Amino acid sequence: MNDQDRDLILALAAGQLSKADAEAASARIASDPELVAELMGQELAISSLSTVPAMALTASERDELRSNLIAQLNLAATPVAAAPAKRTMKWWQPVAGLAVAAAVVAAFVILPANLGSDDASDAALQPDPATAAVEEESFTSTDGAGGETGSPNEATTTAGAQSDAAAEEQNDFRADDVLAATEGSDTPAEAEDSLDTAQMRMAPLAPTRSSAIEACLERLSDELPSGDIITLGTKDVDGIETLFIGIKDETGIASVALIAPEACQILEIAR
Amino acid sequence: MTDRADLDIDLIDRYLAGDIDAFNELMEAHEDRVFSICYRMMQNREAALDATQDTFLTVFRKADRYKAQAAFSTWLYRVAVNTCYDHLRRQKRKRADPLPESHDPPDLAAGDLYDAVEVRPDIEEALANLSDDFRAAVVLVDLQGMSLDQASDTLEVPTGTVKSRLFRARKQLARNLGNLRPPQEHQNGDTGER
Repeated sequence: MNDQDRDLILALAAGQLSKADAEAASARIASDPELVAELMGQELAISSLSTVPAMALTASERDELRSNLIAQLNLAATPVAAAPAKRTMKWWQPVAGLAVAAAVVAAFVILPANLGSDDASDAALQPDPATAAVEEESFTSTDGAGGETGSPNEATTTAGAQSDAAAEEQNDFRADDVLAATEGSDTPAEAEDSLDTAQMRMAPLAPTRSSAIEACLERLSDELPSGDIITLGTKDVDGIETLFIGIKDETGIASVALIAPEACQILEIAR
Repeated sequence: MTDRADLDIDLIDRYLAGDIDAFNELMEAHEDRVFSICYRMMQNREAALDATQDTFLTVFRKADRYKAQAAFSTWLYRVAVNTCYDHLRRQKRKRADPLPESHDPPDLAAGDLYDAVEVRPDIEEALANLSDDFRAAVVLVDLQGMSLDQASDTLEVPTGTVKSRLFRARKQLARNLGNLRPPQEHQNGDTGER
């Protein structure tokens, strides 16, 4: 059977031919038992598929879908109840919190100590009670930095521990996070800057492994989006070493793939 | 462009300008169809919901890159199909991984409520047996009613490739349906290769 016969059968089975064309096609097909069988197969499949019901979301699925999207896209609140986003802490929040805590510590502890014990200076440096109250309030209410701690030193320790935890959480990123950070980057340096800005830490790929990785990427080329590849770095994900690569289109990096180089497998593709 | 396509372009512009109503209107217009495509591609409601969410997430995150050269819906359905391909690839990889020793056997009695209502076992099984590429062609053309050209744009393959995939997919479906049906029906309706 050639492509013309195939197209004829497709058109006839789909009812796309005029009456005259359909009669001519039927005559042509009737002359060849193989074509008759092919036509019957197509018609059976089409009629069976026509009984498959259309699918729709239930009301609760619809609400949940929109809530999740609103949360993950950081859209403004709407009448739909917002569900918690996948990652609730922005990368700059622990940094900003720590900076506030550090500034307060400097104001209360470091500066007086460095300025000595001259009475006049001490008097000048004594905080105005009202100002101290405001500062104390801002100190204890800084999310992610001081918390409800009683002293600046204690607060610094807590802030450090929390920011470590936050940094660890921040470093728990996947392909879609890396794409969000590097999308549109045109060069490896640009992508690296974007990752630095987003505080996504990766190890560079060891030059000794580049040929093995190249061979692996070649093997995976059919499954990867087409385009030039930028190697972004390696990182442990779920206990295995993974490689992040960016794939460019005309707008820069347009997709990011997460690859297990040892097994030469694609783990994720974010587009 | 159709009225729907023009409306979608306007909605995307409004969404990018921060209009939350535009987000809701776009969802209202397209969420069921995207879910339907994902359900038929994934063959599982939970997996389809995940794929639907990821599809819209990608589309809204990249909305500023949408160029109105193609209909928004074509771009959206293309993202949906690609997302399903990615999720299917991940599923296959997971299935290939060995199960942990403490893995409990599945509770066969606890069926999916939706599947119990909606599944027509012969067709569902025949669809599930198709390759992902063949299933995508059937889902878009036969189940979603797209033209061959629309399916070609959505799948980013030539129209001839869509025709070929569709023809071979239906042929395989017919053969599978014939094999899955009871003997008397088999004799009456078998159209397999003779």
